[in-house]
Amino acid sequence: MDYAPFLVTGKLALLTTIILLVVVIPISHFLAFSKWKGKVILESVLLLPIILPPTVLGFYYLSFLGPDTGIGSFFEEYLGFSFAFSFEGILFGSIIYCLPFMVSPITSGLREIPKNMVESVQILGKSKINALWKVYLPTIKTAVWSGVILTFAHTIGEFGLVLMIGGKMEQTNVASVAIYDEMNSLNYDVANNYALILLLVSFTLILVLNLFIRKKRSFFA
Amino acid sequence: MTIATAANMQFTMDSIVEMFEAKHGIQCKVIASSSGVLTTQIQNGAPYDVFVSANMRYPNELIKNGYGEEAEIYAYGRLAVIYSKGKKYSTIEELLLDPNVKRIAIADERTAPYGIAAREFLRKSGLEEKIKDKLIIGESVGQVNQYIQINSVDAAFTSYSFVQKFMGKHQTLEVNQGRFSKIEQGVIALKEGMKSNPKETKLFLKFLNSEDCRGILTYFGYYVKK
Repeated sequence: MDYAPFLVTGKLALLTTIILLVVVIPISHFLAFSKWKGKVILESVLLLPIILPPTVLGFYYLSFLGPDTGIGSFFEEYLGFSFAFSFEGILFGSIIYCLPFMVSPITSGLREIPKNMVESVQILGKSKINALWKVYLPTIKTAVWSGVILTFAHTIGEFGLVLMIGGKMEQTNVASVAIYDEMNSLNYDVANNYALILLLVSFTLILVLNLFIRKKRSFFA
Repeated sequence: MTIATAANMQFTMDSIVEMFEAKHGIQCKVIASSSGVLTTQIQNGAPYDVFVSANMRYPNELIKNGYGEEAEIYAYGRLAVIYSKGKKYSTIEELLLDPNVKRIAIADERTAPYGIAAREFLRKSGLEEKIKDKLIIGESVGQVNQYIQINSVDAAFTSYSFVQKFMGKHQTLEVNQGRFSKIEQGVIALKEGMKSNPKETKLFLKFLNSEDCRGILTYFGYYVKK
């Protein structure tokens, strides 16, 4: 049995999670604390991938970022970055696709920080970065971890988008697509093994998430 | 009745079904995907009456596992390379080896007979190693067509039956029939069809062999038995 698809999936999930964590914290901070009225539109756009079918995402993705489009050819020509048919391509796609799963818990977490805590931080005159790093993020640790685990798990389950923009190359052959291909090639044994591994990994992740949230809840209660 | 059809036959099948419906007053639903995907679905209980495959391997596999009794060849497929952009090429080799042609789509050889044919051609002509890094694998010729249609790739190996559809913005080179094993496209009446819609299923198989239908197949660029 070939384990390469799991390596691709693992690498994809890990990188997606790390990049999203870094990108989303400032975005969520803005969404939670800004007084700007238009932010509801920004938030809706960021959460769109939750309900958008991956095929719709894949279609627009190829139509606007594909190799022959203005943006796609510019990036390819000058930066050597291709949005489709490459590992960095599915990574970028999966970052868009998983955005809501990081934005949603972290933004809610920041919004639930008690008002008096926010006020006392302001009275103490801490800089925004300092407040975020030293006070807010430690306070909403559970929310951050939920975002991390949900994003990681969601990337593992990503299928439709990779099928559309991956082009079945070695570096884009993720486990979920590999199962589908093995099944359609009538290799049920391999599909069986792949599926079992993914089932176990997914279950473990959800279990960890649940244990984590439960522990926190009892801590507060 | 429900007809599962290989992706390469999609448009051809629309015409066939239209004529069949007009002639016999039977409503048909067409489901298109790669032959391998459809075979898996049938083996997992998909309620299709007839399976119009792109090869004989999958129908034979279904017979072996008891999903049908007999398969027959209804057409021979032709393989074509469709390419975009202005430049004209006189041979396929010249096209594929041009450094400006960066991405070439072919169907997945594990599930799509046209992918098998394209691979075989590349292997035998010694091109496979040279253009290995240019290959983009599509689910079926359906996805390969989609890639070339929105110009996500520069060239694509697909069924000759789509050539008409691509005329205008794209150009075509046909792969010489002798350079890959014949694409023997087989049809099979499924157990499900013989049980729930036996009359319609038999009628459709007969229609597929009729002069009218051969006319449509020829029009779309398939070879039929004389």
